[in-house]
Amino acid sequence: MSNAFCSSARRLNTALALCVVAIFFTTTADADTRGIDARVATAANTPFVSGTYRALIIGNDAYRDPQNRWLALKTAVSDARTLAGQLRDNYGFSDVTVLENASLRDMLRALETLVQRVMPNDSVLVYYAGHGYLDTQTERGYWVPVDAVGTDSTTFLRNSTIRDELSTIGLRAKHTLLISDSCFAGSLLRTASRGVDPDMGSERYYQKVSNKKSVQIITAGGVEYVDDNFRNSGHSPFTYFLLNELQHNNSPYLTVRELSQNVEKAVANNVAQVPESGVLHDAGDELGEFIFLKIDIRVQVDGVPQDKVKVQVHVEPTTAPAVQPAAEPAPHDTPTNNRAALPLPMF
Amino acid sequence: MGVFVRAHTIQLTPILPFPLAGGRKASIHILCRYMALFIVVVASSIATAWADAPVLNGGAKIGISGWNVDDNDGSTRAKGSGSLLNLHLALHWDNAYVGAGLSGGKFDFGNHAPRQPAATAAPPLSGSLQHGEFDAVFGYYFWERVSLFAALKSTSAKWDDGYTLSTGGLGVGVSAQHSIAPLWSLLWHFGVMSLDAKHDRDKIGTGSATTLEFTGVYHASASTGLNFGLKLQGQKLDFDSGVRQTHNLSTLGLGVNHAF
Repeated sequence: MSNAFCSSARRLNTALALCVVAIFFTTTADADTRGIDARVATAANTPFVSGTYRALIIGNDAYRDPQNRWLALKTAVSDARTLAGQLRDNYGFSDVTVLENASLRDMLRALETLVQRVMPNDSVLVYYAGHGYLDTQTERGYWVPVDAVGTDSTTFLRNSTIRDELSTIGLRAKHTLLISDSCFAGSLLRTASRGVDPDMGSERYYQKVSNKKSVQIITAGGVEYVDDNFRNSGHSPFTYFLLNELQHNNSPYLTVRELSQNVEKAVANNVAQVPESGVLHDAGDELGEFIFLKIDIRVQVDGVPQDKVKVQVHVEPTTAPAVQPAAEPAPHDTPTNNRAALPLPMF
Repeated sequence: MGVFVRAHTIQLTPILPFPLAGGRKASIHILCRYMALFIVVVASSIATAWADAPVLNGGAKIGISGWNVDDNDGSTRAKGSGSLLNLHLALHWDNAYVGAGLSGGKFDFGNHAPRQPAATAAPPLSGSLQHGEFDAVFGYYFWERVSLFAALKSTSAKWDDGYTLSTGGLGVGVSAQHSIAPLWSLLWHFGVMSLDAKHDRDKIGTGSATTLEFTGVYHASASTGLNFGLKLQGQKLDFDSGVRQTHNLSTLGLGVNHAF
């Protein structure tokens, strides 16, 4: 194990030691009189920890297109909120920004802010749920903000702009992942041919792929967001199966390769939609892997069935992120205290 | 939070006059006393706020400075240059921070040192001035990137002949930070302060001070920042003797900060 990994593992262990663990009992039993046994069985105890996990999550429902080309959606915001909670609660994302019903300016500023916040060795996830638009003549793809007007592409966010921002993030971050529950231009996506690795599934494999840079994509596959409240879950089919995989994953490490394969199969088996995955073209991918680290904290309370015990975890980074966000915080922004390395103002 | 603020307010009040005044041995003694006081304050703050995981930040800065002193009647104008060393320590706790800093250096004025604000106009002196500053700051981020702060400041200037002028007062200011590029931040702060001027612990005048500082910070890591900047400090002093002076101190600084 390298010193860097040891150091990273120690940092996150320390972070977990500082976790505020609030235990809510769904029973009326008097918990004070009972023994509580908390066990932190988490990937944080492994060497595959590197930097801060950050996410920018965008969900657009409330479209206000005066030309009515873009009708309001029902599940995109719900998708975004649930995914953000999943990442915070179960995967140790300590810097999660949720943008709901974002304008073009909101989206650009949030991306720019994210670019400025990223530090070396971070793992960065960008998720979008909302209308998409693919210009079949130019093969340009767009994400559609809530203030988009008709088919005026100048009011859309071009996929190539997103690629540029992710490329910049990829220069510093160790791992970058784009999940688009909407269209994403196929010309910007390359199939990642990682081949069969004899070490796959072993610690050696995870260590190897976590050491290499990655800039990966998972897209819903269609041109448009599918807003059909799949199985009354309040989510689109793609995000439903994405959340399902994250929720039921019981492995301490989940690579994007594994995640995308499972989501692709599940979606294709259930709806007329075929998700795609790969790497972002010309963005610095080195065949590494974004690895989701499952945080699994088990709390046992004497006399209380395990399924009645709920644990809420709040993970805080032990070192202060460096750069202050440039943009105003979004409604669900989780500001990071990155002021601590700045000089003191003095007269 | 309330306990935290009150503790600092009470303990930092008797800091004046500036510890470097009054002879080398006395200076060292007083300096140690104030450093000990500061350590106690910081340590107690850490203990109080430990549950909220405060971040301790230490920094050092060196600077080259120019110091202009004008007598407002136009009778004398002194120009000096020197170097300053600044050490500071701060505790960041959620949106609040508290800290203290010490600066000191020697300024060479050639054959025309600033006039001493005595009752009668003295002939220009040659030589140098030893200059020192102590700051105690408490601030709070009311907005994401903007904080307001209050500060106690004490300064000391000691002429070659042993004459010492101290100033001290309470001020308020605003500090803001902007991300200007990946890994780069721009900080600025502006403050105003009212002052009392003292000699041998006797009040001999009043005045005001302003400070404006721009600092560029390069974030070498998540916890370490390298900074450089320009600090402009001005003091206007009205002495009981009738002498009125304007002091302008400009410093180009280079420093490092680390969050522990």
